[in-house]
Parts: sequence; C-alpha cells; structure tokens
Amino acid sequence: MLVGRNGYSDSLTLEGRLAGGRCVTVTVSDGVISRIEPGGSSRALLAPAFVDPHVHLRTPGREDEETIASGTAAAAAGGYCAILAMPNTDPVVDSAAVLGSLRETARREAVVPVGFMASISKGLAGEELTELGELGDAGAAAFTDDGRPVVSAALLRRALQYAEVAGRPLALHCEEPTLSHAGHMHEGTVSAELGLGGWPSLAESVMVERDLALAAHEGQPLHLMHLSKCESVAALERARAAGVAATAEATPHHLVLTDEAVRSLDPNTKMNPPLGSASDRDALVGALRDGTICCVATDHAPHSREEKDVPFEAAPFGVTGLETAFAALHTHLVEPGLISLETLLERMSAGPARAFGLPEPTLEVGARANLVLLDLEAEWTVTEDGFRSRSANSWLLGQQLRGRVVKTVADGRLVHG
Amino acid sequence: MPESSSQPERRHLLSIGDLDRGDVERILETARALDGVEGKLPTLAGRLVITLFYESSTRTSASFELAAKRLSADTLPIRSAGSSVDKGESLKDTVLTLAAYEPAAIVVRHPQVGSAQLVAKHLVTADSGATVVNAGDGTHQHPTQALLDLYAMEQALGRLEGLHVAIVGDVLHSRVARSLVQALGLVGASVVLVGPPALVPRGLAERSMEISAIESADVVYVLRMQRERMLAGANYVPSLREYTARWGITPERLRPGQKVMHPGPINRGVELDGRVADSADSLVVEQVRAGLVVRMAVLHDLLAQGVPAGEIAGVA
Repeated sequence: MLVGRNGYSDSLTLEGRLAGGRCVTVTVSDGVISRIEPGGSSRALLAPAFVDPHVHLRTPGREDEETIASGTAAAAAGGYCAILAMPNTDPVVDSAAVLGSLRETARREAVVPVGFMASISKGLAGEELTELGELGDAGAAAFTDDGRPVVSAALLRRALQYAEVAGRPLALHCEEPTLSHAGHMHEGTVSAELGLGGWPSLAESVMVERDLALAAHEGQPLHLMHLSKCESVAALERARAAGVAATAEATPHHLVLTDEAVRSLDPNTKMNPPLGSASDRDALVGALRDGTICCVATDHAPHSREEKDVPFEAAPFGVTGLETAFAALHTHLVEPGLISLETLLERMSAGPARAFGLPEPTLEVGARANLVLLDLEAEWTVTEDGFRSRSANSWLLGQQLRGRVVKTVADGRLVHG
Repeated sequence: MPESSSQPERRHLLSIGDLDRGDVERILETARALDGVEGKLPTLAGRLVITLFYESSTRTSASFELAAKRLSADTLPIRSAGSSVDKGESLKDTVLTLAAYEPAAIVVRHPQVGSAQLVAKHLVTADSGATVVNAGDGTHQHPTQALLDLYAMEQALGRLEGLHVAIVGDVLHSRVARSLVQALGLVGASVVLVGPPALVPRGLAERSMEISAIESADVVYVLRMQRERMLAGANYVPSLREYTARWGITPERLRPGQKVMHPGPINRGVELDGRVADSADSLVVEQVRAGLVVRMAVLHDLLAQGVPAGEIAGVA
C-alpha cells in the first residue's frame, strides 16, 4: 500500500536517548534494526518516526505547488516515515489508471513511502461511486472525497457498505455545504467584527453526527478528518461510547490557534475547516490527550505564493504543515504542559498508523527502521526560504519554535539529517 | 519636526481599531479648524495622494480627491475599470507599480476584506513610506465614514459622549456599521443594532429585532439595504416588502427632533421613507459636507502631524 523509492537500504548507527531517559546506540543493518545497546552520548530523543494520514501532494495537476519528490522531502524533514496523499488532484485519483501512475512515480521519486488515497465518488462529484474494489486491489490506502463532503447520505451509505469489499477505510471531510456557504472563517464574535462570512460550528458537527449515524447503522468503521469543533468532539465521544469504530484526526493549527488569529487578516490563517474558538481548541487538545482523537494530521495544503498573496477574502483555504508539525506541537502543547511528550509521539506515529491499518513504526530489534531523532532544546525560526516543500504558506512564518527534527530514517533509509 | 501625537507609531488608517479616543478627538478638532476655511491650504504641496478605487463610489472618491486638492496635494485617481486591473493585474502588482510614483498616501477601496492590509504589506515590500487610508474593504471597515458620522453628529447635537444611537438594517454586510460601532464606543456613545435577526450578527453591540428599539435613540442611523442581498433565495428576510413594513424608517416611527442619518446611496421607500430623508431632522447632506472636512483632517493628521490644528486657519 505504501510505495517509496526502490532499491536500497542503509546501514548506520544512531545515538540517542529513549523516551524513558536511557541513552542508547541503535544499529541499523540493511534497513533493519539489528542492535539496541546502552551507551552513547547524544542528548537528542530517539523515537519511532511519524505517520501523517493527511497530505496534499498536489500531483497530478499542480506540480508548481508540490510534487511527490518535494512533498516527501518535506515529510522527511518533518520526521515522517510514511504519509497518505489526498486524491483531490487534477485529474482526481478515481481510477486504477491514475492511481497506478502515481504509485509508479512514487517508486522513482518518493523520499518517504507514500500511500495514495482514492476518491469515494467519481470526479469528487458526489454522485457515482468509484470502483472501490478495483482501487483497493490497485493499492488505494483509503477512500475520501477530502476537500468536499459526501453530501448525499445515500451515497455515503453505499460507500460504507462497499468499503468492506474494498478492504480499506473511509475518511470523511465533514461539512454541510449549505451552512458553510460563503463562509471565510468560524462564525462568532471575530467574524462579526471583521465582517467576514461566518462558517458556523454546526456546518461541521451536523455532518459529523450524520456520518457517525450512518457508520453506526452499517456497523462500519469511519475516520473523521481534521476535526475542529467541540460539538464534533462530543458527537465522536458519544458514538465511540456506543461502540462505533470511529477514529479521528486533528491538525496542528487547530490544536494551537483560534479564530483570534484571523484578526491579522493573514491569508495563512485561512483554513478549511476554519479555526475555531478557544473552547473548540481546548476540546481538541483534551480529546488528543485522552485518545478520542487518535492522530495528528497536518492537512499539509500547499498553495502557490500568488494564490495566497491576495486579500484574506480572496485567498484559498489551507496551510502547509509537514515540516513544522512536531516543533509547533512540542512548543505549544508539550512545553506548556497541555499534553505529555509521550502522548504527542504516540499520536504522531502509532495512532495514525493504527487508524489506517499501516505498520506501526517501532523501536525494536528486528523491526524495519522507521526512526526520528529529535533535539528538544533546539530553537529555530520558521522562514519562507527554509522549506523543502515547494510552497511556503505556513501559519508559523516568522515564529520561533523549540524542538527540531535532526534525523529521519524511513523504511530503512536515512532520508533526513 | 517632532511628532506630538499620542501615537507616533501610527502610519495607516486601516480600521477604527487603529485609533484611540485621543486620536479621534484630535481628528475631529482638526476638522473643526478646517471647516469654513476658504481656498486651498499648502499643507501637502508637492506630495502625491493616489485614490485607488476597485468599487463604484461617488461620495467617498469625490471627497477624498477634493480633500487632497484642498490641501494642495497632487492627486492621481485610479479606477479599476480601464486600468491594468482589467488585464488581470493583481492588487500586489498594482501597489508595487503605484509605489514607484512615491505617493505620500494611497486611499484604497476594494470589494474584499483584507485588501487594505495587503496594500500596507506590499508598500513595505516596495520599501515605500506611503500611508494607506482604507476607504472601504469589503464588509470589513470604512473608518473615515465613521469619523465623518461622528463629526456630523457632534455638529448637530453638540456632543458625542452619552449619545444613544440606533443603527438600523443590514449590519451583517455593512462596513459602515462595523466602523461606526467601534467609533461610537471610543467616544462614550451607546449603540443598539436593530434589524432582522439574520442581518444583525451577535457580538458587536446590544441588538434588537423590534423597530420600537429606536424610540430612545438620539440618532437613528439607517443602513442601505443592498438589493443584491435580497435576491430570491438569499432568505435573509422573506422579501424586501416585508423588510420595509417592519424596519423601514417612516415619519410615524420617529419622534420630532430625533436625527436621522444614512451613509448613502439611499433606496428611497425601502429602508428610508423619502419624507424622512428630506426632513429637517435628516443629516444626510451634513454627512456629505462633513465627509470633505473630515477627510482633509485625516490626511492632515496622517501626513502632516507636526502641524498643530490650531494653526491651520492661520496658515490659510
């Protein structure tokens, strides 16, 4: 399901400190962890590398914004050993032919293994199911119409029924379009003051409730993407308590920022779903802590400089995130004590891997080497020219962060550092 | 000359939020000093004021241009129609181009929220020291309108502190209302927002859907009902007819002596009865007059802050 550059594995040694505090030297032979021995002098933290279940590689169609090569290089720099790419490209990944050609390119270009998601509906039009079975056989990592909701409840129901045949999960972008219509930001006091079209919390939560009800009815699992509002978190908690096999992700920007950030009218604070209130953010952090939300996903959404260098109202939704996710969350959640480092590492690695049935990166002898070395004390400033991504639409530009990825080993290869 | 202002850092007027009470009082005082001065003042001689308008406008564009001319500035009016904007030039490139003419100020009106901020940002890119005056950015802010409204209110009622103002109509889509609510708050006046629930957002000020809420107001400030918002299917209100019946400002709904204001252009017979617009209690013409002196005062305040307002008449 995951594909990366073929043909070689590295042999190397890494020194670092384990989460428990023990200093070790890890030997990787032909891409596999062969020895973990006490000793070594590095103070950097050695941990299983990260998995990002939500990345826009913009390929095919917008290679000016990102390519498989540049997006996976960004992932490597961010400490990721696996990423899942969204199918809302041009053309849409809705056929085995498009999927096959992407996987072929990834075999040549992908620095970090990539799984490609395919769309639920043909052309993301929300009308006809794609050939989920054939796409699953051809290696689709999951199915989603991300960027758009599945508006028709009947279509989503059929997709849930058929996902069992395809053997891959559904991941849903929850948005009730008649409520979000003409919205540029979260509806609340800030939108009232700025005069920007408001997007009520309900636009997400009523769709979350509907999608969970369908999943419950069909007895099928479901993954909720970029959850952003407290009402949605409450709905997810209720559904999980009732036995629905629902998982969910939250993005670094929703876990750190609120709609107050939009007062700057900086187009890099414009995202879909929009940044919520402080209580929304607190609910997301709480849910990430207790595992209701089991993964961090960047929703890395590159946009060209021209597209974002316009008045807020004219700007497209989305920000990049692969290269800053760990540092942003370490700085804004771990250091102030909102979440433990161990929890953050789990939600960035094993959590997303489990949600999508991917192999969990582990730091064990005999495991394929998927490792990240983190300098938790390193301070650095996010700058426009510091990205491997082709795009620089980061919400963190100019900010100083604490914690940095020093080395990344993905699928047995040293891909960063 | 050393700057005597309470806010020496201020360079642009993008939002009423950029001002404090002292700034507002100083601008109004400057406007009073300018009111009635005949002929041109030499204040901005040799300096360039560009008015960049991406939306249709009569009052605002005319008064800014005239205000700049009265202060002896060179003026360069640019309208999106007939300019390179028609050829797809981005706002960024337009700003970089205009910056090359070394303007002292760019007055900008644009249909999108955040456009004035973008102009200010790219003047930095262009290493230009020009001041940006926001003449309306989408549904966000229109700060000089709020300042001229304060001026007209003060002229008519003799004070601002303690005044009670009812703002009636489509607050949701009104940059005028957003700036005015903030400005009234700065000078110690109180506000009630009156209109259909879907057009009066929560979180700005006290709100009421009953037209009777205007009874206690010293000033009834009527907003324009934008017809495009009232198209079938928008459903902010069931119909324009129903809006007028419930929230239209008619002589019967007003007390004698209650002042009525409107930022223009008026839809007579929709939000405002023609008899009210033409009555002695209407300040609509005073608002237009105030527009000129207040915009002169704003340009003076931003571009010639060292010159005390009291000396202005003497300079003439």
